[in-house]
Amino acid sequence: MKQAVREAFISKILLLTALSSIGALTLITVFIFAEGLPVIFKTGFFDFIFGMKWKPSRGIFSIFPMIAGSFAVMAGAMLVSVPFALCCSIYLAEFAGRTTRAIVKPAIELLAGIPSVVYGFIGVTVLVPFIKNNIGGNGFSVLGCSIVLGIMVLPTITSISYDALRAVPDSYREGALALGATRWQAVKMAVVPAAGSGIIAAVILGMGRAIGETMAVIMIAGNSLIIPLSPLDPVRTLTSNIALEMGYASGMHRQALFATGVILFVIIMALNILATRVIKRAVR
Amino acid sequence: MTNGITAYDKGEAPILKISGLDYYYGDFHALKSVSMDICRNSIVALIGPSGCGKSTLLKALDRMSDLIEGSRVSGEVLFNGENIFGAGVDITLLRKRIGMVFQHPNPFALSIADNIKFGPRVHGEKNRETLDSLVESSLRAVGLWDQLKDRLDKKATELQADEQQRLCIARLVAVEPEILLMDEPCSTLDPIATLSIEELMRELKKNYTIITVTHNMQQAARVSDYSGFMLMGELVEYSKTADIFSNPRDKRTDDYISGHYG
Repeated sequence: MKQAVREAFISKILLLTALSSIGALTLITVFIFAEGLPVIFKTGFFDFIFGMKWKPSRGIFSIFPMIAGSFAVMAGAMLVSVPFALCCSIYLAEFAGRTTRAIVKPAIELLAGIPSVVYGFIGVTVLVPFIKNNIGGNGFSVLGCSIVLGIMVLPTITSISYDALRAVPDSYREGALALGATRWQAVKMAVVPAAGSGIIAAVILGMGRAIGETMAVIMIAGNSLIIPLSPLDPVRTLTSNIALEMGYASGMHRQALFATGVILFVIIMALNILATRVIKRAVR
Repeated sequence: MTNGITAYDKGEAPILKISGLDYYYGDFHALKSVSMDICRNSIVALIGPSGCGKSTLLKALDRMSDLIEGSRVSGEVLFNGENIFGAGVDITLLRKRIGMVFQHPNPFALSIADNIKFGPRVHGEKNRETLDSLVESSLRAVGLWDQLKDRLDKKATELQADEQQRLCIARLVAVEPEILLMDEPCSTLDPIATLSIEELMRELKKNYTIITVTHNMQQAARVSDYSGFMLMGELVEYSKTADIFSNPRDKRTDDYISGHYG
């Protein structure tokens, strides 16, 4: 009897711990929305999102240049990392020998462990001058950001795609080889299509990571409030806007930064939900 | 030949001539000097208890066994007179000409039509009309055309098990093989689906040579022209199915067929 009570008590405690993450999520969500929504309503939803001017000193808050900036940098990062990550995961899952895999896979996963400020630092000291001297502009640019972010999201996309490829039953490979396919044909025509949804989910999650990254982006992006028209233009993203101005913002300005957070929150939530749904479809 | 049986009774050269085939997985001697002739347009059933080497033999014939690490082969398999283990053999071409149907139906996660087109595409066929007509003729050959012709875009993995297995056979038919290897093709199907696949095998025999592995002796008796009984890597007895079931020469065959073990 006593033991049963103890068991019940322990399971309740564990349940509470598990629920605390939901609690934290709820609190953060409520807080961001409560702080941010008034500014959005005051400016008008459409003006807030599609307006061009962000002038905190005059109380004008529109974030379109930053939305454009975030998406430009994210798209650039995907252009850099998706081809790499796909080739990497296909090689590791389908072609690499045991030893190669044992070395390369942890190495790629280690990339995820490097602090983003280090990426930013390398970007500023190496990549930015390189772009300035060899390609043009002042170096702080969408291009620089895309390259660094592309490397940063490489482990996410690679390891999720890798898992998706490994989850394809060997019967697919055998079936293809038994029809006279070469190994590459079997991978390209039977295995990759079967892992398709998993790979798409990997890319979507990578997009979420790229759009949420802050530190490295601030250091390399240049942070100008313009809509980037060339890869060499500087940009400011939603995340960097919050981080750059929160130090001195107050009142309405501070709320506007929370409103920026609301938009970011919605974008990232949407990407995550999309990824989950794609994965669910694959399982079924 | 160890058991003195050849299958030349049609008076023509065998499509496959297996002689002295040994097979090793690491230290395990999986096939022991197997020799047998396979006649064109016949169905050969390989029977025997689990682990006797019948699946290994089947996999060796289209060299799918190459995929297994640490495997080794010696001996000779002449396919239309050419050794399949020879140096100049193009494995992809060999596997086109000797197709394999697996125990578990394994259609690709593609549409029904793309499953059929897979083989021809692998071998370089690009013409859309040719591919489309192959879809129709292959599905007709396995009796699926009428029921599937309106949903060729549907995912093949959503079909019923026996339809999937027929589709896998149709997928082979599309590359116009000469021999079909079937590794317990009915073991995951219910009795009615099994009968329909057996019926299909008899139909296919007109154009192909079929070698099938089965656990099911009634099936071997029903469907095959020749049967080989294997035990511990050895081909104990190989002859006409009618003979082996009514009048086995080897005591071990007799024991197995009358249900003493296996």
